[in-house]
Amino acid sequence: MAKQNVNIESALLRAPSSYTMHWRGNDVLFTDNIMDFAPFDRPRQFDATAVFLCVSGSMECKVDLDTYVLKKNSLLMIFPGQLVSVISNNGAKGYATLMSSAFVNHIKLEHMKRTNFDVHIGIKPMCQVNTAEMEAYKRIYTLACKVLPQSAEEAPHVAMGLARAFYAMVISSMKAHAGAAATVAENSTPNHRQIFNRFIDLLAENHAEHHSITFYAKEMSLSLKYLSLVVKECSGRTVQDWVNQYVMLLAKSLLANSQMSIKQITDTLHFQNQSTFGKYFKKHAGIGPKDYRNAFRTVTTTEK
Amino acid sequence: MNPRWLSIDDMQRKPRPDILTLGNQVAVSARLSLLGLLSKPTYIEGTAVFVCLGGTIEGTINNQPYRIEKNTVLIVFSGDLVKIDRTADLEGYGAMMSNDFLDELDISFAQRAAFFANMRANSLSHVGDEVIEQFRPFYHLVLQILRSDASEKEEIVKGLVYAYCHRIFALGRSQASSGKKLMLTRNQEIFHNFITLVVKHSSQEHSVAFYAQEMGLSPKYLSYAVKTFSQRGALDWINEHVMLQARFMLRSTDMTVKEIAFALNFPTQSAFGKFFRQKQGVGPKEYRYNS
Repeated sequence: MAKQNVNIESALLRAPSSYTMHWRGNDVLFTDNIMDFAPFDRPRQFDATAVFLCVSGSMECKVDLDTYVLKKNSLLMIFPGQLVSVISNNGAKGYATLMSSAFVNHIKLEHMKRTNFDVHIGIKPMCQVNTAEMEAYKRIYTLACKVLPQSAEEAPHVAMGLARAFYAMVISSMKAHAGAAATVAENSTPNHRQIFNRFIDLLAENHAEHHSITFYAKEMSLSLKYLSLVVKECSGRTVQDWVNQYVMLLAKSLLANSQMSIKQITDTLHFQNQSTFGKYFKKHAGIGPKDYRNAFRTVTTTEK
Repeated sequence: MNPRWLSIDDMQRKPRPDILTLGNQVAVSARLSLLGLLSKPTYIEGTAVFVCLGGTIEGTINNQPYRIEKNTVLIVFSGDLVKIDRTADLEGYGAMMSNDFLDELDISFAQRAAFFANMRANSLSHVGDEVIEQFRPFYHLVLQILRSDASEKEEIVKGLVYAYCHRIFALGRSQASSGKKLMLTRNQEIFHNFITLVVKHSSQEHSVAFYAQEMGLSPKYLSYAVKTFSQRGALDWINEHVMLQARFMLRSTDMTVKEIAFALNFPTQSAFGKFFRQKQGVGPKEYRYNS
């Protein structure tokens, strides 16, 4: 089940007509059919950053544990590692974009180092854009579909530029409308912010498998002490807090949204055995996994 | 009358409602109003692109007369002397980018130089309606973004200009392959070979003499040919490419300044520091920290 993640390769299989941009491989995918890679059959984990822009109609999406209703001029951003499903769809029309983590990291490191904004778990990922902004997004999609195929040899560069502009537009919209305060402390140095961002990216990719903070320090070739210091400075939270947040979010999402047994979830999250997982979960959620799942099911069934 | 210089800075100092600017980096106008600034002989300090959708323009570039009509793309390079004599029923877009802005975009030097060589001989390019249709959304989008209060305005414009420049490069290439190669002058050929060598050797060789020797020319003649064709000296082109590599290594690698100095074949770190500061205005360390 976890194998069927949403990334550009799998999206292409489902929507071969959407427009892909190659930079160093399959890096960006633009489509004017918002449903192209929206997971409507069951919850799927995203391996890439996704943006949904709704032009008309509406759809209801579940991202991890939260539900969002996309209507006209809604922008929803999905981050790698999040579990997404479409609960209902009322003729939603619009655009969607997928960007590989490698590509987003490249933009962040090369071009947006000074931008004091880092989007990841913990901020509200949806906002309402105004009509003018939607007009600008439409133009980007027009350019992606009209200009790119014509410029042959230069296409990867044209793609790179358009995708860069698109990403910066999304960040601008999020800053303006989501009220998403920078999650990173203003006074941290650019160098430290860069380390912090790398840590979060690494965590988003590896939290299912690695829960030990030494793994992350080692992977980044930093001493544990230094990494802790930087993360604390940038976010006011410890490395272990961040790891726990990601692990717990995935555990809760799987319990709430999937049919996986607790044994399977234990394995997916790489806990030694069900009992260790149970203890860990209870410690952080206050209730055991089974109770959590039951509580969640009861709530959703009564809602219906 | 002495020609004057026109930069984006000047436009910013005397703002006009029909010309939108991003700092002193980019200026865009929707009605070719940029051209109105060129009624007297003017040196352009930056690169300007004009897309004519209708009407006519008559004038001179580097004292060569030209006439622009519908579906013409005109590219004017830094240091070109431009004068516009007459315009009629003009419709179109104009954009100008500062040299610094283009440098920061990290467009490959080889690509820029090749494009420059292709367009130099013939800065006018007639294009089909379908190409014009592709340019239109670029201008509308950039104008819209410049008017907006998007927080990442600069990065959005950079991305769009980067994409736009490469679309124009494709234009330059089709221009070059459409039989115009026959018009290759001796100077153009020298320029082209020179640039190819610079791209290959500039990390190790910074003197005009080296390239002249490689090409079997005297340094004086090489400098003359390059300057005549491109309005820029041979050493300027070499230095530009060295700087491009230096900036790239400072921004995108973990190499120390000392390692970069040696990778670019400077005798000492201090010599590299001086060179870099002279060209960039700030020292290498400061540049790295600020970017």
